[in-house]
Amino acid sequence: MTRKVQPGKLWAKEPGVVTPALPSTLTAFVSLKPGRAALLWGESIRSLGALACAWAAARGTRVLTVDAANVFDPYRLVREARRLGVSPREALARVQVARTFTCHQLVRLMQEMPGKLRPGSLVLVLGPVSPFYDEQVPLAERRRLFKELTATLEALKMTNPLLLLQPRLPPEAPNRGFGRLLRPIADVFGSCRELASGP
Amino acid sequence: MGRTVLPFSQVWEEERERWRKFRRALRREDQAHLDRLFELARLHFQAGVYAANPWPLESMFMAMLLEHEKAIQKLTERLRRLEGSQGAEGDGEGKAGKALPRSET
Amino acid sequence: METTGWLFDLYPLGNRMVLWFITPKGERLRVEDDFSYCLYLSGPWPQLTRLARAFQQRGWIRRAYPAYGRDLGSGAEIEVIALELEAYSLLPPLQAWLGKLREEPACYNCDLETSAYYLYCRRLWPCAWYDLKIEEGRLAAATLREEPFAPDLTLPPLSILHLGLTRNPLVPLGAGNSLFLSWEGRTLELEASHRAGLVAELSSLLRRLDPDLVVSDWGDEAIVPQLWRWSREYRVPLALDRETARLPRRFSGGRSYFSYGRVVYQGPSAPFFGRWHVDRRNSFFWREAGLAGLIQISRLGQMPLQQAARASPGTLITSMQLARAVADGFLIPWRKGEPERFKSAEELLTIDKGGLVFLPPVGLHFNVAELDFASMYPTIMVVHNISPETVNCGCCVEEGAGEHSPRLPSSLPQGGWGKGPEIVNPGVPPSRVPEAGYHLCRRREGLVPRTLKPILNLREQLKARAKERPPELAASYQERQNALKWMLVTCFGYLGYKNARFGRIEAHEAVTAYGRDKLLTAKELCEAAGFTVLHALTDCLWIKKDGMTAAELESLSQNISRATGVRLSLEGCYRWIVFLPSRQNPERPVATRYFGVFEDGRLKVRGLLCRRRDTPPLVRRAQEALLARLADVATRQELTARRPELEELAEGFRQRLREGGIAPGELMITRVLSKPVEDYKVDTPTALAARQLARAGIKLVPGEKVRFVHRKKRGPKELQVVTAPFLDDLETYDTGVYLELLNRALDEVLTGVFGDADLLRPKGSK
Repeated sequence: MTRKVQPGKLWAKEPGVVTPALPSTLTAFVSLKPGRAALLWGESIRSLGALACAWAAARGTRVLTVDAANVFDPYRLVREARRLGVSPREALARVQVARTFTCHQLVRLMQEMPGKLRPGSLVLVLGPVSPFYDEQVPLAERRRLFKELTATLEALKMTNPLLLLQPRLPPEAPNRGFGRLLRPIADVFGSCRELASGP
Repeated sequence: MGRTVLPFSQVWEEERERWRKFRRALRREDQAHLDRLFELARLHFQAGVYAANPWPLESMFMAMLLEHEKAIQKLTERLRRLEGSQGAEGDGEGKAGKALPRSET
Repeated sequence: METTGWLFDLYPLGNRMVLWFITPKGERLRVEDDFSYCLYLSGPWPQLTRLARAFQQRGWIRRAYPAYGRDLGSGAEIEVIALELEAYSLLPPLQAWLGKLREEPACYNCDLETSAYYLYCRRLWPCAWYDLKIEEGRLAAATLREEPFAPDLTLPPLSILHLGLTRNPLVPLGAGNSLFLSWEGRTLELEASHRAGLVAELSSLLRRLDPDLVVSDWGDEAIVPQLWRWSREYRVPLALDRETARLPRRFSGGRSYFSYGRVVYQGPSAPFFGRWHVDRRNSFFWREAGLAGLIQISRLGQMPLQQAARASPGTLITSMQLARAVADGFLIPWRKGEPERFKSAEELLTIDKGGLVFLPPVGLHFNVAELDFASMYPTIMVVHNISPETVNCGCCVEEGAGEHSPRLPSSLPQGGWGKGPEIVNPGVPPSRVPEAGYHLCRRREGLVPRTLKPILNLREQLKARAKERPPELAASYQERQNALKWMLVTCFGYLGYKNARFGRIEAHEAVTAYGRDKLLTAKELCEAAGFTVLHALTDCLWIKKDGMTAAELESLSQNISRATGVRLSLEGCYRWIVFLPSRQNPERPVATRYFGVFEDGRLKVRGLLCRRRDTPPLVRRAQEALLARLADVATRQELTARRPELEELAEGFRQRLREGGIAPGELMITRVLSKPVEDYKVDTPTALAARQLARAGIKLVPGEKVRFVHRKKRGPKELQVVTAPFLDDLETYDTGVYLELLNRALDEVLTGVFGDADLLRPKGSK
């Protein structure tokens, strides 16, 4: 059963006015627990990813981040964490990162995850769809791999909360509809606009 | 090319952006000084990169301070030379009491 | 029969390989060799046997049997099933089939190019001499007569035919363009008005002249595909090859595809069979290293020359690694590749840095020495044994090793540079990578270091010979060493994250960590010896000291080489060098914009307009002329004295531009299309040029080049530029635009050397 996040929680209320990042997006995070997955897409995944990690660190939760779009920003993580009262050292220690550069690597990494997960850890995947647009791999194979990915994610979310953040694909990438295929596993999904970054 | 952590020049840009409001409320002549301060921070990028301080602003401040220290050193030297040559002609008294704080070297 | 032969060409034909040899007498021998393409699968045995049976039923494989292979990661032997393909053409459908399986078994050796795989398995090296035993047209034995990595090569004489177009390649053959041929000093133009006739004439010429090598301009892109189409249309045979059997050829035009965040363009390729066809415009290695370089890398890369000609340096170094893996019995994984292990965000911050890049003091400096590490990254890989399977290996885990080890001094194996890493007894703790704390294997020598060692050694030998020998002979050594340089340079990138086959990002990180450490060690040693470090950049340093001597620099270099394990040598002493500031901000230093003259008169230029590919020839030559006039200046007084002459020279170029009458070719700007023509929203000159071509029926795809000249501003915007094929109609050019570009180029040099720009330009020259 999917529930679309109310517009207004994540969207700016008036044109030109951007609601502060923290309260609105927390709504999506707060609902995360084992058995639930959230999928957000938009422009500012770099900040949102850091924010998610910081928020988890502030609650003492470990985060395992899989970065498939090369958008993980440890500096931003430290910044967001400080706003939440977490020291840089602590924030950086609570978040583990692994990067993948091909769709094969992503699928394999996700499949090997269960062994590395502790109960309560947040699994964050940045750009789950991005590597599937590489045309050097035949489309049929990419489709097959994607199915494996979604199956793995479905299984993962049963034991740990799952947050999927997907940046916009470059316009040159021919659209194959992978994003649409990912939606069914999400219990919470929505798009996010540019988040204000404070001083 | 497989690099995830932002290049330091980009980190520098982002930091400078954060000081935009501070800068706006400065007088114009002071803004010029602030801009130069930020430019000074660029001169030691490689140290900022190598240190990989989680709070890069600290590395930038250190670089600015470093450049200030160099400038002070230079000026102290010059002043000493100028005062020294004046002293030889004029009073004959050393002006040691009025010297600027000396750095280690 | 027994004879000697030079392996010239090879290609698959059905289910066997065809090889061509050239004998010392000059005969061109064609032989065949049976070779089965063998791939391997590992997994639960019942699944494997089921698959094998399914393939056998389809008639795809000839044999299936259990075998053993070594896993690269662990070094352990694993059980696999070997599948021998019935025919080479069955590989793609088999691959596609495997790719679609729900429960994909681990597949090995299933995406290798057939000819290369043959060479790896048989341990054959192209462009080398063999003792041959041939029985009834079949190759019974081939024994190498020379060392594959020999510094001296003896080639059989090769006959060469040049093939090109008479006009710009965008003009279609037969619609304004004709063929141009030359050989042995003779030239010939073939009109393309009668298409079938042209095909027949070229065929008969090729048959009569029987060249070994056809060097073309635009052969791959324009000439051969078009001729092939006409040959089919008019049913006139086009005899490109010495091979008489019918081999499939298909030209589907260029392909644009999206990969790693950008659009890549891959043009058509048209190799010949039994004869070499190299398209100069489509060959990185021909451009960089000529025929000698091509032969060198084809041989070492164990790739047929025509493929090597069209390959990138990355493909070649990968081929060498594959060859080494196959020779050592390692299984070559298909696309699986190991993902990165999890690391804390703190570790990521510490480790993900790249090379160290200092910022130099802007301005002119006299008497500066440049010290360079020789092939730093590849040497680091060899000296420290860095390979995807040796970083954090399972076999050398130290007891009680903490996760966050402090920076330990990098322990070097005995012997330093020159000798390979010595595999010491496992009792010694493994060496740890600075900053990252990874440990490196002490039991096994990695695949990558094993592959790189002979290349590094050969490159040094070639460089030495290029220095010693007289100029005519030196050129070939220089070309070959240059080809090797490119392979070494790309090795680092392919160590990391791309092409997942052998890459592991931790290996990448280990290399850069050592690189930074060694650069800092070098800096420290220079400073300890009283030198000032002006600038440093990943693997080079610029230093100076009053009264420094050659002997002093030599001993410093040796010290640093010993301390780091990577050879550092003096690139040269600059009489003077200018570090230029940022283009946008003259107060701000940048790392890679400089130019200077060495004591021996050599110029070194980085980041200037004359080095950019899109700079028009006239502007490039103007800047180079200024630099040439500065080459013999050694002191500040001489510089000041030279100034009026330079200003005159600069003004001369400006005058020429203002006067007009410059050939369009001199003013051509070359840009690469970054997106489809329709997607350009802003009317940049590139967009206008591409649209102009589109209107003329020439559709360019992203990645292709467009060449244009700025025309005098008159009339609609669309006509502001004129693209390459239509330049004959060009009356005048936009002097303003070119003057501005010229002035930028002149200023780069003059302000760099003398200072303020406004002081230099005579009144009214804007």
